[in-house]
Amino acid sequence: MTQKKFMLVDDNETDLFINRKLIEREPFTAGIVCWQSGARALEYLLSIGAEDLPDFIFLDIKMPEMDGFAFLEKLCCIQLLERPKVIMVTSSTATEDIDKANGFRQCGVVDYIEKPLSVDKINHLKNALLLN
Amino acid sequence: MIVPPSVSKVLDPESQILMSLRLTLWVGLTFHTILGFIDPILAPENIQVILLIRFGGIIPVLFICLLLTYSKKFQALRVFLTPTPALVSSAGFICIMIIAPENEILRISYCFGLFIVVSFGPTLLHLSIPQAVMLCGSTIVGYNIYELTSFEFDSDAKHTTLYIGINVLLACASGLGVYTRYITRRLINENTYSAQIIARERNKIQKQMAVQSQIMNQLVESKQKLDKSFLIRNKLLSLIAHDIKGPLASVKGIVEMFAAGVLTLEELKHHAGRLSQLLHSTNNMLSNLLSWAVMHVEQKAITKENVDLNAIILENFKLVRDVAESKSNKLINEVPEPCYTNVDPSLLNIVVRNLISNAVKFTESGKIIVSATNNGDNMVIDISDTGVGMKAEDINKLFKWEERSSSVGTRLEKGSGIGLLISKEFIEKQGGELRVKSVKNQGTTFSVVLPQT
Repeated sequence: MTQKKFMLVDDNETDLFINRKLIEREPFTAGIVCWQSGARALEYLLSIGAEDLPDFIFLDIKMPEMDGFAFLEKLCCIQLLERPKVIMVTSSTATEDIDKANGFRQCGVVDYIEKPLSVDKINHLKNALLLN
Repeated sequence: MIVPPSVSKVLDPESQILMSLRLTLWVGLTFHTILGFIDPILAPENIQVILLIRFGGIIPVLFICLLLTYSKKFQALRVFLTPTPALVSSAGFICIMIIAPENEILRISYCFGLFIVVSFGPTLLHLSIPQAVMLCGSTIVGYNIYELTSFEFDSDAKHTTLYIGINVLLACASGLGVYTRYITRRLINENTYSAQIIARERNKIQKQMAVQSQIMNQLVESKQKLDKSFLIRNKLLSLIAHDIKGPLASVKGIVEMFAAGVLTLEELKHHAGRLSQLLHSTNNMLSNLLSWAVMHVEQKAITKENVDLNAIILENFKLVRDVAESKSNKLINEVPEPCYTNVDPSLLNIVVRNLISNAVKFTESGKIIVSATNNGDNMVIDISDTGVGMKAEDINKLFKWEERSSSVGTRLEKGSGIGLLISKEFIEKQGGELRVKSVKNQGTTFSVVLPQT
């Protein structure tokens, strides 16, 4: 199994901790970067080289200043050698949010997960995405 | 708006009677004046008496009647005025016939006049049935008296035939006149009746339309109310979805990880503080929502009593003390002691708690000051902070349900602003008012104005 790099964007410290903790214990994890602000995360993506680009971004929707969708719009616009796959991780189960997220498929959105992340959900993700 | 078809103006029966009476009187006056000039040719031997009857009797009476139709008392005199022209005419004819008995032409022509009176009088004059019968009867009786007193029928067979013929003719003309009057009156009545029905129906329709438009207005109003309450409900639901589900998801995540053995006891302890803070604010929000819901669902009445404001403020200071200290905020109570105010204590408690915790949330290394002034009519409680403040456009959004969204405190504390909306509602329920003054980066003051009467 190839090693994967992860980026987590969530304004909530506890959720960020939960997500990081669950991902870092997996053997395929090569590295995790966490950001509490979407703007900072974008700055980081622009500043790094191609070899450091994350393979997956776990993105929250409801964030102050720049929410998940604004982040996706910006992400679409920036030139990257390889497009990270985005997994929405959010407490919102509103259909409009899910539909909106599906509209960002061309930006790399591949899945929509309801918070909190758990061992089971990580296993599901592993089978669905990471092993392919 | 539908307008009922307009009804062409129908002359009411009173005006019809007046108009036809005037016409008859004018015609009668003209007729008798012209006859006055023909009389000398027809009956030269009795001309003085005939002219006296005509110009001294018939014409002045008709003229007075005509003048009276223009009088304001016409309605009262109508019953006498209507049969007068015909009666005077027939009386005049009979008088002239008595005076000039030998004149055959005059007699026949006046019989013709009587015939016209009985046949057209009832119709033209709108006489009632008794009036018409009276007119025709008196004319025929007058004629018969004249004939019976003037002639000896046995000696003159030709005259007897003429007498019977004129009687039959007058009777037929009377019958015809009364019948025509009956028919025209009925036609007029029907016309008037249908006009009345149309007018009544139109009135009814207009009334119904007024009622309908009133109902329509009420419907629009209640739809607006309903829309607003739907909006509030949806807003509440989405706030609950985010602001309660979010913290719960965090707690659930941590607990599940601990249960699955992913988390060590030390890590759990490390997050316990933050989780308890999350639960605290969630609990706070839930109690806000619950008191709001209780207020709305149970339609709870306001129970005002005299309470010391200091007790409420100190109790709420206690609740936020830890958070305030962690942000180096000073809590200052400048309310004079004691400070009694007439309010619903449970509602005021929620208001004060919300406003103080908001002040703490948006202030870092500053002061939160609560003061109160009582000017007799109103108790004004000021809760001011030296925090981040707001721009004017944000202040406007503060009290609009549809514009509410999550707000973030100086330490990224979550909040929905719903506490503020509920506070405002609770203050207004007591007849009070919530005012806000704020300057960006300098601080905010919320003033609770409570009437003391």
